[in-house]
Amino acid sequence: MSSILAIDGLSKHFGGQPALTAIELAVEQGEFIALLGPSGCGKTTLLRCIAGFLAPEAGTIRLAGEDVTRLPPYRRPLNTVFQNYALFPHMSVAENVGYGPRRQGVAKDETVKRTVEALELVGLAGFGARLPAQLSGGQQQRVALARAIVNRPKLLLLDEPLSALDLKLRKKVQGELKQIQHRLGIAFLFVTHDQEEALTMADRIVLMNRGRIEQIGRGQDIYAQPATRFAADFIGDANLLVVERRGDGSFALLDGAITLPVANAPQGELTGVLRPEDILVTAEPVPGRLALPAVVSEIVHVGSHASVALAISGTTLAARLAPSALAGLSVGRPVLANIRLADLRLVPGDA
Amino acid sequence: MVSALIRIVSFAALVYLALPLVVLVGASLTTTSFLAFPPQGVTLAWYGKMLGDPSYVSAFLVSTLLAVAATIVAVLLAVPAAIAIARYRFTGRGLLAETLMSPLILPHVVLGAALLQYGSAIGLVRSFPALLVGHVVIIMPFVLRAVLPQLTDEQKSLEEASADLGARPLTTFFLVTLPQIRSGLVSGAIFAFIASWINVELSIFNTTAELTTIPVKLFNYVQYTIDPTIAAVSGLTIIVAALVIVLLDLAIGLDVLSERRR
Repeated sequence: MSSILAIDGLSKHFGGQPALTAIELAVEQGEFIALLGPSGCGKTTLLRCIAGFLAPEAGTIRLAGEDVTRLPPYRRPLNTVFQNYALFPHMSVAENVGYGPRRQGVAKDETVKRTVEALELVGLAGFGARLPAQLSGGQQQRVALARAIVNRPKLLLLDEPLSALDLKLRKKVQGELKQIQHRLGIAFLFVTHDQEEALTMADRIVLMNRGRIEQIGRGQDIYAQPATRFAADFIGDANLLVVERRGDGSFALLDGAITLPVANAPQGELTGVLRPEDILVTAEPVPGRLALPAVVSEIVHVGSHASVALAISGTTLAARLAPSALAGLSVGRPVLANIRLADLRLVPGDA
Repeated sequence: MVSALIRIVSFAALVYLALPLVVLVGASLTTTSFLAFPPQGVTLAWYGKMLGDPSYVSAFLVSTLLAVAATIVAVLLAVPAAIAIARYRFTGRGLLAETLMSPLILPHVVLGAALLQYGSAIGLVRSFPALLVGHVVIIMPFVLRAVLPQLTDEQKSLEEASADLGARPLTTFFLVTLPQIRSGLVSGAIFAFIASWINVELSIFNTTAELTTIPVKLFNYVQYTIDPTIAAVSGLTIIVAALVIVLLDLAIGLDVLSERRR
């Protein structure tokens, strides 16, 4: 009951196609949650169900303990920052921000006071008389934020609010948004398709795919312990290896170059996950690691590190190396790829 | 070279469009008892004659009342219809839209005959309400056509934002939807008013000697007589139409007609 948002068994179809299937999610007071997934994964549909713009076929949505599943949007104690900001173009910035309080019956002078405070909070003090069209994209984004938080909602929904900003500005706003969220203590539910954005900003990530939640957890936890092949692939870079189940209960990877004696592995198709930074490329074997003979097929420099493609038993693996580790490496050269079996995870899903 | 040619052609087209008005208003000022252009002398006698004739005054009143009432009713019907068509998916949605638009492509004479048949059956003929119903049918498409394109997805997200901020549907309509479709609504209403103001083909079925509109009266008059009175009546009709536009300009600003929405 203490959860700000509790979603239970939520399902939604569009013309017979499932858009959301059996969604379970709890968000606590003051949490910053990222709804992450590729386009079409259902994250925006979920957000619109929570806001009340879509009616789910099954399941319940509770806000601070109250069942709001059947309530219209204007009766839900939450607010939304829309992807295109949806600022009222015929109203001034102050009128936009004051719109919510006025609808809630807040007196005029109190509305003015709150509007000024909200605009100060987002760094737009003195912009009240402008029209939205007279503001830059970044400023419009702040007005949209001010217009939402001025209502002191229990939960703030943000639908890819930074996607229209250029990279540099986006980085800056990410930090500011996080600060504002921290100061207000409002739970944020933030939709994004950008894994880096989710990793930088969110306390927890809700990873979605094909209308289902794949995994919920802290970014570093999902990275270190992906629950599915999709989670491994979507968060960070991963080498995804075909896994062959052997008769004796062990698993063979890389055409038998690696054998894993796994006791209680999940049923069904499995994929081996190996992060690129977990591969050491050397000329001599490294103690405590399994050395696989490999041939360097490509070296790509990406600033702080280099990505090296290694051909091992007919499969290509990517390794991430510090520039200092590149000495003596060249394309076509036989090397050793040193891995630890503990770094190799088997997850459900077809490679 | 080419642009000079375009200028000449454009200018010629404008002259061709404007000249009849000049000739008409000019001829209405003539002192002769027949239409003459350029006018022989200048007199307002024909305007005086027309305004001294109670049947003309009454026809002007009927036309004005009819155009105003029909425009108001058309707006009140077309705006909800446009919102229904743009915002909701329901069975018969396409049929509804096409039916409401059909008066644009149907000859008004055909429509008038059909409405007369139907009106006779239910006792709605040769009266002001009968005229009103017909005019609403033919001018509604103008409002609908002008409003529909303004109910965009962007506009819909504004309505969602309004609901999200706690506004009830009716509040959202008056504070967000209406201001956003204002330009389309005004231009549609102007065209609707003028379409009603100048209509002959439909009105003629439901007018009588006592209850008639200015265009119908003109139409009947010129079948028997052509004298400067009709030029004066036409001149006044044009002045009223122009006056409507000027008044609208003063009231809400005609820039809404050309204003490009973001």
